[in-house]
Amino acid sequence: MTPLLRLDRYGVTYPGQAEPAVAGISLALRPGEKLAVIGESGSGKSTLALAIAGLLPPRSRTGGRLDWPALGAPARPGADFGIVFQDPGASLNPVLRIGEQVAEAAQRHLGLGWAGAGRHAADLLARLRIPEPEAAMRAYPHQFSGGQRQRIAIAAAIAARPRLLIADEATSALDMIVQAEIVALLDRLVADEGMALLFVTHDIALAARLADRIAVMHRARLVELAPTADLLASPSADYTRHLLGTHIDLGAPPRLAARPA
Amino acid sequence: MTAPLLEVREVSKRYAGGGRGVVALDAVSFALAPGETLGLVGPSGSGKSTLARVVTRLLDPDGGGIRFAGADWLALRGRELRRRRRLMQMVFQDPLGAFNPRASVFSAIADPLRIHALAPRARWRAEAAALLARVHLPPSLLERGIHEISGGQRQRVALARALACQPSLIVLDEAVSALDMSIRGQILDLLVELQAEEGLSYLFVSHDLAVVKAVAHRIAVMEAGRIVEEGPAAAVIATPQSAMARALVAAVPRLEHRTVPMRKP
Repeated sequence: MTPLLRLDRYGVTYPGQAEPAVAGISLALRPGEKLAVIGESGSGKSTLALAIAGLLPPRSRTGGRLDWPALGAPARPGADFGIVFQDPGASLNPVLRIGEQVAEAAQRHLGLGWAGAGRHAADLLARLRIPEPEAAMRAYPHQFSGGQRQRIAIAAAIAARPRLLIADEATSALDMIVQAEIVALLDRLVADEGMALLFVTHDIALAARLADRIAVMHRARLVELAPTADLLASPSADYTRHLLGTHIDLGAPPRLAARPA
Repeated sequence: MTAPLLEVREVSKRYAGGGRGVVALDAVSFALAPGETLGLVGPSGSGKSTLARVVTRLLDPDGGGIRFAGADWLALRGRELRRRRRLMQMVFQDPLGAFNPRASVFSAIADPLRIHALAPRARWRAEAAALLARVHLPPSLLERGIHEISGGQRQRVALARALACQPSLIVLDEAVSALDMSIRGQILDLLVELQAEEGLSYLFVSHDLAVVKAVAHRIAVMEAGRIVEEGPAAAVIATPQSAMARALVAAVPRLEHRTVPMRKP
């Protein structure tokens, strides 16, 4: 199958920096595939997401290749991919009504009139479980909770039916219950739409819950890329082993020795 | 049965706004023994951070009572409050927000020694170095700016500063949530170690049940301003009774394997 996105020995160095933020990355994302990119702070995972989205700061130096074989052309933001960030405030305009923000991409890229784009937006908001979508269309971002804002940002990002949704730590600022809801929603959404998902996270368990394959980044480099089950059962990189070994979930042993007297 | 170090009785707090106001705390009661860790978990808006702020007297409750270290904690004022406050320290999620950004590690740790007159000026440097050693940081860090060190190091410095006050209770509000997972584990280990050495009590506030489970003796689950469940940590996780506790348990993503031997990279 022709990959949707392909990186070949790709690297990024930020302006004024000597060391690359991302170096020597080769990977291919298939249409409809869910790929998680994991790593700790400073590993380069968010730089990789920004580079794919064409959002690197001016005068960043890039090397190697990044192309979109299944599109046959450079990807258009909004139309071919959508992106959501940790802070939905980074994606939503605080002074525009929700309806306009979600309908805009549909109107621009799907050739719908405003009425049609509005119906499409209301439908998307309903699918993202925003209560009373018609009323929500007329409201502003600050009138919603953090979890609802992130779901609205996702609706806006996928309104033009892109081939890829990039989620950069999109659930990290939310509490665990809202995080679990959004991850379940993303899972269903990408399956229904046949969209590919690039899910950037520091949480290996969350990546494992969602992704078909996991890419592990450490110090700007890709240290392992494997199907999720293989990566969990037999990690090849020491660093992956370290991430698995230090992960704290409910199965991790308590650190306490004994109760106080 | 030891007398509790901290006893919170029927504490209520209402925020202004939206007509009748918003109930942030609705008759919350709990007790914390010396040397014990109580984990306080709940979703955003459940009131756990408000409760931490009321306990530390950053916020006045509308009703209820708090006893701490044998005193009526809410009745303390002025000098007496400042003097007693030394015994209850707080560590926040973002260590940068808790420090003067231009401070050096030395001044961050020496401030409480000066303010509470815990050591003569000539001893500050040696005391600060000793406090750093207790959180496993080298004395060479003393001269560094607080913004120059890593997030994990900053949280250790925040603990060293709290320890400088010789507290009996440290309130930790999402204190490891912003850290990478491997650093998180190291800070949790440090908390447990310091507790064993000092007999400290912790009120450990987090939205992450897995992190709470790792360090708490008991867990209290909050929802909509109330404690809806409380019990020994293992029991709350294994057999949650309330809908909120069940939802929190279900929401923690799980790694299904655990056969991988632990190795450092």
